[in-house]
Amino acid sequence: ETTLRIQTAQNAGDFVMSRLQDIWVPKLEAMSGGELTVELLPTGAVVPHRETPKAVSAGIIDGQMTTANYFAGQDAAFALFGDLIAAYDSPDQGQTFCRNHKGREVLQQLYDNHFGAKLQVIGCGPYAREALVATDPIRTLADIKGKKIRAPEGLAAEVFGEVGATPVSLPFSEVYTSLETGLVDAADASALVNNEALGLHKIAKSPIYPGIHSQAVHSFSINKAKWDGLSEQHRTILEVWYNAAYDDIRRAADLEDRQTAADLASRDGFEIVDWSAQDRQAFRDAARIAWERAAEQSEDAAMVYEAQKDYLRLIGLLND
Amino acid sequence: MQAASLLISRLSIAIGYACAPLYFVSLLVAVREVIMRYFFNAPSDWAFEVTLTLCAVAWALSVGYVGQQNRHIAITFLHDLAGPALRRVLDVVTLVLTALAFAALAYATFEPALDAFTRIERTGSAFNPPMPAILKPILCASALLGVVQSLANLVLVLTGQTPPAPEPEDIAL
Amino acid sequence: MSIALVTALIVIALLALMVLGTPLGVATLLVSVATSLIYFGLPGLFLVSSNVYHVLENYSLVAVPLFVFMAGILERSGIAESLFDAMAELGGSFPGSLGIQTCVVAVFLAAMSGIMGGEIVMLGMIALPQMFRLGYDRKLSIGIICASGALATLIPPSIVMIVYGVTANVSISDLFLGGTGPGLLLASIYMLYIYSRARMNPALAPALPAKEGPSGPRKRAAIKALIAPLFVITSVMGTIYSGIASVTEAAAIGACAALLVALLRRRLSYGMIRDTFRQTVLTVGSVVWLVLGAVSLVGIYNIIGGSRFLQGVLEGLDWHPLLVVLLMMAIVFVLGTFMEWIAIVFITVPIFAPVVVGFGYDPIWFGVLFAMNIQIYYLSPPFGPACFFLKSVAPREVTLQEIFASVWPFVLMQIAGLLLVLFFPQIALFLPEVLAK
Ligand code: NA
Ligand code: NA
Repeated sequence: ETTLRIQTAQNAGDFVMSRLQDIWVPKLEAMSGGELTVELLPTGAVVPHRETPKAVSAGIIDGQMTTANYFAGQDAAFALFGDLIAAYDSPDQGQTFCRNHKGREVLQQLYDNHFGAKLQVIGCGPYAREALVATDPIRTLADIKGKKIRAPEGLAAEVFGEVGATPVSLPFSEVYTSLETGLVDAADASALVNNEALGLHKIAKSPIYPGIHSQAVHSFSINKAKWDGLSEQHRTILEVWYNAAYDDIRRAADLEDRQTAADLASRDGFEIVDWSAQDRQAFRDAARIAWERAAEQSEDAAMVYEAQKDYLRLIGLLND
Repeated sequence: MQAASLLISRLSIAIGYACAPLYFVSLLVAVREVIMRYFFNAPSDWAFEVTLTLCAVAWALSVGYVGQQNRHIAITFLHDLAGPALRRVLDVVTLVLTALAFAALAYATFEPALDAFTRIERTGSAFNPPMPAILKPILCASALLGVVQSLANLVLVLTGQTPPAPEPEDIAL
Repeated sequence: MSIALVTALIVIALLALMVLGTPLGVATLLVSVATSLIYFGLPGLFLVSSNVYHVLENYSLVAVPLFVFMAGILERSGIAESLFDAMAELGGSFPGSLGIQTCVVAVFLAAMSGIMGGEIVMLGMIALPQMFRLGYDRKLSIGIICASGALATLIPPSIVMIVYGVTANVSISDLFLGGTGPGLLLASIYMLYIYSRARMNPALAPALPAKEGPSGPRKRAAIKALIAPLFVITSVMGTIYSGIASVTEAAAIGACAALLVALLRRRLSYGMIRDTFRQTVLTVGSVVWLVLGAVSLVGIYNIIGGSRFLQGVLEGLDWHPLLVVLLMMAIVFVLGTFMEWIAIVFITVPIFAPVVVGFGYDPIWFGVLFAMNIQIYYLSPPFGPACFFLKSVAPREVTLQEIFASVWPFVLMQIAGLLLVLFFPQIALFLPEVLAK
C-alpha cells in the first residue's frame, strides 16, 4: 500500500481541496483496490509554496499540486506557462493544450531544466477562469484606461500596463479593504464563486465574467524516484485519476460560477460585464506585446511561448 | 581568545547599529509610496519589495547584536534562582546549544543560499527584484554571525566575565 | 513510533530546553533540526531553511518594527504626561477618579501604540507615583496599571493581532476592528470595578484635592492637550480605514505622526531617533529570531502528521464546539504562564485555527479571543511580562511578589471579559460586520 503525501496550493476547505478530498481521494483508493492513496496537505503546510519543487526533489514530500506561476522568480518561462495572461477564453482550451498538445511535455522540460530532473509531471491544466473584480463597470478595452488594478504578478501587471491601466502590487489580504476604499478600482482575485465567498461582491458590483485575464494552470507532479518505483498500473491510475478529477472540478466550478452569476444578476445595483469577442481579441493582441517581451528573457521562456503560440494559432485565437 | 571575543562583540554591535538606518529608509519608502499613490495617483511597483528587503536584512543581521546584548528571548527563572556556580554551568550549556542551533541553520541555509545567488533567483513579481538572491545568502551569513557571537559570549563566560548587561531602557512587546 | 509519542517527546524536549534557559528560538530550532534529521536525514534540513527563509518574505511583519519605533518615540515625547494632566482636569475629582482617569488615558495610549511594554512603562512612570502620593491602595494601583496597560494589544493597532493575522492568514484590519469592542468592554469593566471599590471604601482611592483658581483656562488647555493623541490615532486608524494606506504603511505614517508630535513638543533630537531605532533593532531582532525557530518546527510537525493528529484529537472530542474553543483558550492560558506569546501564537495557531474554521466559526472572532488571552498572559505569574515591565519603572520598594499579588482581580476580570466575547461573539464581530457593509 502506497500513500503519497502531496502539498497543494490550496487552503484547507476551499473548493478544489474539498472536492478532491471528498470525492476524488476515495475514488483513487477504489480504483487501486486500496493500494494507492494520496494525503493532501494545504498550501504552506510543510514548506512555503515557492519551495515545493525542491522539497519534492529532496523526497521530503512525495508530490505537489501547484501552479508554475509560483516559480516565476526562477525563470520567466514559469510565468508564461503558469498563466499566459489574456490568452485563452476558457479553461477547457487550457486543459487541451496541456493534455493533447505540448503543455505537459513543456512543463516536464521546465522542471528538468530548473530542478535537477527529479520531478515527474503527471498532469496539468487550469480548472477555472478568474473573473475580474471591479467596483465600476469596465465594459470595453477602452474603459480599462487609467484604472488602478491590483495585479502583483509580473506578467499580469505588464499586460494591464500595456492597455493603459495602472497595476498596483498589493498582497491578497489587502484586496478587500483596498477595493472598499477606492485604493484600487479592480482586482485580480479568483473565480467568480470564490470572489463571492470572499465577500468581494459586497463592495465590487461590476465583475467582468467570463474573465478576461487569468487562468492559472494547475499541475500535479511527484518525485521521480517515487514514480519509477510505482507499478505500470499505478502510474496509469494516477494519470487517469488526475485528469478525471480536474475535468470534474472544471465542470463543477463552471456550474458554480454560472449559478453565482445568475444570482448576482438578480441583485440590485449589479452589472455583470461580459466583453465582446472583439474586445477580447484586442486585449489579446495588446497582451501579445507583453508576452513577447517575457519570451525574450530566456531560452526556456521562448520555448514555452512558441508552444502556446502554436496552439493558440491552431484554435484561431491568434492570427498573423 | 578574549581579545577575539571582544572584537566579535564590537563587530556585532556595529552591524546592529548599521541595521537602524535600514528601518529608517523603509519607513521613508512606505510613506513616500502612500503620498505618491494617494495624492499623485502614481503607485510604484517597487516600494513593497524594497521595504520588505530592507527590513528582512535588518531582521536577519541583528542576530549578533541581539546575542551580544543577551537579548534572545528566554525563560530565566532557573537562572535567576541559581547560585553563581550553577548559573555559570547554565550559561555554558545554553551558549553551546545556541551555537549549535545557529551552526545547523548555517549549514541548512548554505546550499539554498549558494543556489539562489548563482542563479540570481528573483521574485517573479512586476518589479521582479533579486530578493531571494540577496536574502538567502544574508540569512546564511546571519546564522554564522549567530555562531561566532555565541562562541564569543561563551569565551567571556568561561574567562569569568559576566555577559554584557542589557542596555538601559528598552522597547518591549 | 506513534505520532502521539513523538508529540510528547517534542514537548518534553522543548520544556527541558526552555527550563535550562535556552533562548526559545534556539530551542524550537534545535528540536526542528533534530526531528528533520531523524525523519529525512540531511535533505530534511531543507524544511528548516525554506521555512525560516519564508518568514523573511512576510510583508505584514514589516509593520512590527515600525510600530515598535513609533511606540519608542511616543514614550519619549512626553505625550502621556500631558494626556494624563488633561484627563485629571476634565474628569473631575471623586473617590476613584484618578484610577478611572488612568484607564481612560490607557485607552488613548492603546489606540496610539501597538505594544504592551511601552504603555505599561508610560503609565508606570506617570500614574503610579501619583496614585501612591494620593494614598491609593497600593495593590489596586498596581493592578490598574498592569491591566489597563495590557489593553494596548486588544485596542488597535496591535502587534499581537498582526502576528496572529500573519499566522492564521486572516485580515489584520478586520482583526483590528474586532478588538475595539472587547477592548472598550474590558476598560469599562475595570472602571466599574474601581468605581465600586472606591464607593464601598473611599480610603482605597481618595479624591484629588481641589485646584486653586479659575478652571476655565485649565479646561481649555486640557482640551488642547487631546489634539496630539487624536492626531496620532487618526493618522494610523484613519489611514487604514479610509483606504489611504495598508496596515504596514499606516504603521509608517503613525511613526511619522509620532515624530511630528515629538518635534512640536521639542523633544526630538538626532540622538533620540538614533537610539530609538537601535532599540527597535534589538527588540525586533529578538522577536524575529524567536519566530524563525518556531515556524520551522511547525513545518516539520505538519509533515510527520502532528497537526493532523492534534486536529483529529480536538475534532474527535465529541464536545460542543464552544467547549473545544474553551479548551483551546485554557491551553493558551496554561502556556501563557511560562512561555513567550510569539512562540505561543506560532505553535498553537496553525493547529487551532483550522479546527475553529472547520466548526464554522469566524477566525476574526477567534483571533480576538486569542488577543484577549494574550492579555491574561501578560499579567499571569510566574511569566507575566506586564509585571516585569512595571517592576522596572515602579518605585524601588514595589516588589515583584507585591505586583503578582495585585493583579489577580484583574486577571479574573480579563477571564470574565474573554468568556463574554466567547459566548457573545457580536461584541467582537459587530464592528467588522457593520463596517464591511
Ligand atoms: Na493598541
Ligand atoms: Na503569564
